[in-house]
Amino acid sequence: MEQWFYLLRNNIETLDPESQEMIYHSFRQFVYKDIYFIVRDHSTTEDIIHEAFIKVVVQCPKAKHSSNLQGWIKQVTRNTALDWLRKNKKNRQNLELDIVNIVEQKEYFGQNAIGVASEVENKLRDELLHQTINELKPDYRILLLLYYVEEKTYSEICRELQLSEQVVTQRLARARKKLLQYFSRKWVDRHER
Amino acid sequence: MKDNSEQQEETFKKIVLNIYNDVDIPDNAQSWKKAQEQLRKRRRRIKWANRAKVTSGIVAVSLFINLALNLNMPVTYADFSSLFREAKNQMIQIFFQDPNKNEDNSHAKTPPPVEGNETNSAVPEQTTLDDAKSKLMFSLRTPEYVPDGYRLDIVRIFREAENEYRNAFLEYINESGDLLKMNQQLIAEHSGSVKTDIAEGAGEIKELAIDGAPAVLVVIPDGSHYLEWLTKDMIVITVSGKVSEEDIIKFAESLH
Repeated sequence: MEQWFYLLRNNIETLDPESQEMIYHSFRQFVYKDIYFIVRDHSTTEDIIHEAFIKVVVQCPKAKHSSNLQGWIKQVTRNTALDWLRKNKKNRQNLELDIVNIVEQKEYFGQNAIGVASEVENKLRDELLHQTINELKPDYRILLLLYYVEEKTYSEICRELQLSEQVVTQRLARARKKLLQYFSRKWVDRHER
Repeated sequence: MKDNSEQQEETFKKIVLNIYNDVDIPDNAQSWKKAQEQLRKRRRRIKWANRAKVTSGIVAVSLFINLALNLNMPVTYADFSSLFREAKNQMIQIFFQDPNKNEDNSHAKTPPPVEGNETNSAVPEQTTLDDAKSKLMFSLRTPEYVPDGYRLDIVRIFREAENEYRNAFLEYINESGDLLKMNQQLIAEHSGSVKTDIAEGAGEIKELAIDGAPAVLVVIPDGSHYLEWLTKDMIVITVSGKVSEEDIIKFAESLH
């Protein structure tokens, strides 16, 4: 286990500033992709990381989770992101619209590159994939993260998200379907231009 | 051979992992600064919460003591308010006041001038334990238990108007120069106002009982303890020093 996990067991206030900073940067690196994958916005990701960092440094010295500290840290951070999404449900729509606008601008400026070479096509496909994931609901994104990235079982996902197995199964199926739908539509649109 | 659904699953996994791994983590020097700021805010919140805890604990005890003294709710509430105001001025003060002394029945819009220090003027006299016992207006309590290494160093009594002695101060010292201080003060009718100051952010407050009387123990972060209670015969006793919680309680309970 990396050094910063051990340091987290101490009260952060008792550590020197260099160790505090090292813990923070390691923590940020450790959870950034997960949070960005869920919220798809860098500034929001930073805010959530700050909030989760405080929770982790406060709870870690008290908690008894020696067996799976990494898993616990990721779960605390994901829960912070979920809480943020719940709290900002009204603003979320605006954020998603902003993301779509950015994506559309990127599409416009990217037109010159189309058809130049096959590697460009691969890049384009990746870009489309990112756009596709942006269009998915955060509820679907978190399921995809837990199932495909974290490789959690259905029952573990149910426990973490406090959902029934039926809901998780249905939502995951819908998430796959939407992902496929959005992506196919974008891919076809792009090639018909 | 893999069936269709398995292949589809693999494709999905590949897609999701690609998206996940493609996330660029931006360099952000400001990020740590913001986190530091949040840690600072948290420290401030804890400090304020502790201060509020100390204040509320002392208010509770003060309220109780005032009730015991006055059995007069409006006056008790007034003292409660003044205590709070003092706490805001970075000093927490426990007031033991004679309710009749401050009671103004004149209904005058301009309050009377604040009294001078005459009521508080007391002349300290360093003396022996026996001399103190003979002069004091109450039975001075001495401990049967003193923490290891401590010995009685100073006995001081305070002569008030009409040669009355209502206050005694005993100081115990160990070889390292650490002090254990005890004050005993008789609260009687017309004794004037008496207050006790506790520095802000003092520490954790605990409520306990000494010889059947409710007491307040302040656990100060530097390892010191401060214990205060009012005995049934109206003596406010305070004990403080850099001794363990167990020792200070044992010391207090052994007073006879």
